[in-house]
Amino acid sequence: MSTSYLVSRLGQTVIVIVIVSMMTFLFLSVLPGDPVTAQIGAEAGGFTEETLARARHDLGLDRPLPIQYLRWAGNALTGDWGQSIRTKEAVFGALLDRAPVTLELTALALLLSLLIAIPVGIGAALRRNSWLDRLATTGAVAGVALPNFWFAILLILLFSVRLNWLPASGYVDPLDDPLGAIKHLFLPALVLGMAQSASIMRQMRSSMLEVMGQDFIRTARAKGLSSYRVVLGHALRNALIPVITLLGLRLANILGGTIIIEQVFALPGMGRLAVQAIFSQDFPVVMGFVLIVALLVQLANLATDLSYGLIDPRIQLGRSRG
Amino acid sequence: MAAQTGAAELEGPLAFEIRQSPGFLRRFSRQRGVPIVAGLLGIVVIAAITAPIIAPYDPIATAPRESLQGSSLEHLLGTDQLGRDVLSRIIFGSRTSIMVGVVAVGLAMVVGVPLGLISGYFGGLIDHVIMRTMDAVIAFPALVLALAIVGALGPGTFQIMVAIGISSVPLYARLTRGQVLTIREQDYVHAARSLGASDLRVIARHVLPNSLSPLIVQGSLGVAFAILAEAGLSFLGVGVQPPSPTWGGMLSKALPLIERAPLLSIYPGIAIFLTVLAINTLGDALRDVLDPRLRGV
Repeated sequence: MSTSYLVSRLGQTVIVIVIVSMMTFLFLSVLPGDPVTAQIGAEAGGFTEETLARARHDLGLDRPLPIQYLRWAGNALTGDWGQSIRTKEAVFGALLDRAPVTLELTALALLLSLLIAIPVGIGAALRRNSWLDRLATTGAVAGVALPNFWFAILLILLFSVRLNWLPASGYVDPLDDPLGAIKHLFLPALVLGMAQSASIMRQMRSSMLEVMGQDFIRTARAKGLSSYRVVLGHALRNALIPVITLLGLRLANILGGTIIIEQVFALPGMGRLAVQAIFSQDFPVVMGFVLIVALLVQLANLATDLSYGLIDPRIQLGRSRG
Repeated sequence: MAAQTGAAELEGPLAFEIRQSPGFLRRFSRQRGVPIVAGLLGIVVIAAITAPIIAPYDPIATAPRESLQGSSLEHLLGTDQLGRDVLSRIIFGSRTSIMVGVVAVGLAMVVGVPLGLISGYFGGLIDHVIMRTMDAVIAFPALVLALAIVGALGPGTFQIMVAIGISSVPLYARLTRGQVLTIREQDYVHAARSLGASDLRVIARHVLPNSLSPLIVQGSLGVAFAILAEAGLSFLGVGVQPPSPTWGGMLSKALPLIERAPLLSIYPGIAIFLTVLAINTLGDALRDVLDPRLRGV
């Protein structure tokens, strides 16, 4: 991988992040409700025009939009993401406090989706038109149509209400009680993971089918290698590339899904904070959340792009062709 | 004038596929599962249109004394915590789902397709600006973006149509641009241009009609996505506001009662699932008929 590719790819990421932050800022500054009256009104009964103006000035809401943005962006770079209008908490700190919940959930969901999708995808490709293949294909079609929060509700009905095996809500810090933490995160992560496993599985199946039809596989077979070694040693590595391409997108979907799933399972993550912030028109918090998610998605895409070279040394990013 | 006539004569060979293939409907209806899901979707659409006639009760009228009843002849699917008839609410809920789905996709196309046409046809700086902006929009997971827009506009039916629509714009812009890039270089486009056809004419008569197939396919799948997104946002409480009946909203009200009245959490989900499944299956079948190249994407 050449340095110039790395630099230009990083530059691209930075540009997108800047545009993203501008857009977030613009969206949220056209809020119809007045956060100032909402805030003061909640604190005390009456207030004068003067108090209003002062509060607006304190929050920087009386400045022109571009200035507000520049000020906000400059501060953001130093970790000052503003203050929650409702709780007065520092936004960055508030998000950081809740980030572990969301990130643990996301990581576990991604892991579960791969653990489900890759073996099933390989199996479905190797045994085409078998019961496994049909089940996987039907499952994938159904999975795409299944609203994840309803799937969550069904799992709660079965595993929490009926069988009483797993808790229906709440969060436990894995450092305090690792087993309890997994128990609490398992259902939400399964919901998010299953939703993504459908498309990963389909990709895995089709790229495996494609690779298995190629000459080098026939050569490997002709050399007398066991099926096991042909599949795991030769085919899988090649078939994984398109699957990895998808992971950045999957991660974005999982992060998006955490908003609803954290709500269903009452998990105190960033998504839940953002939803509560919307109800109280607490736009610095919403903006912080949106930005953090966009940042994470960009980093995931970057990591995805850079990882191709590691998995397949033939791919030399940034080298001119010919 | 002569040039214009010449350009018009050239539009035949790759013109829009539906017009070209008289067997389209037959091929479409022979796709696997199509008759069943088309029937299913037909029921949902008819329910949405005729809701005030076929719904047995007013979906908003509360009757506290009849709250949380099970299935009976009076209330086929029982009643919710406010004594409202669940079946009537599901029937009326189909209106919201279908309307939000169709309007959101329409909006996304109205904005996205022209952006893609301009971007792909003219290229250069304008292409860069449009596509980088689309990249930035796509950097947000669709639901996060929709949530941000709802945050800015406030909750409500119109707002979530806009929110879901905007978050889908890049999809249509990119798809259209991709199509345009290929079509732009076709001989018949060069011919039309050399005959003096204006950019607008080339785009309207040649480029757009030949880009339609994948857009129709994507649009049908987009309706399914929009219905899921609406249900999700209404479930969070930032979508269609109560007491308007929506499937997502019904599920959110049912969740706290999951131990006392589990069926309240089942019915609206089945409605969403079957509707989305039907639309997706039809979309896939459309793709197989209209644009086999996209299979497996």
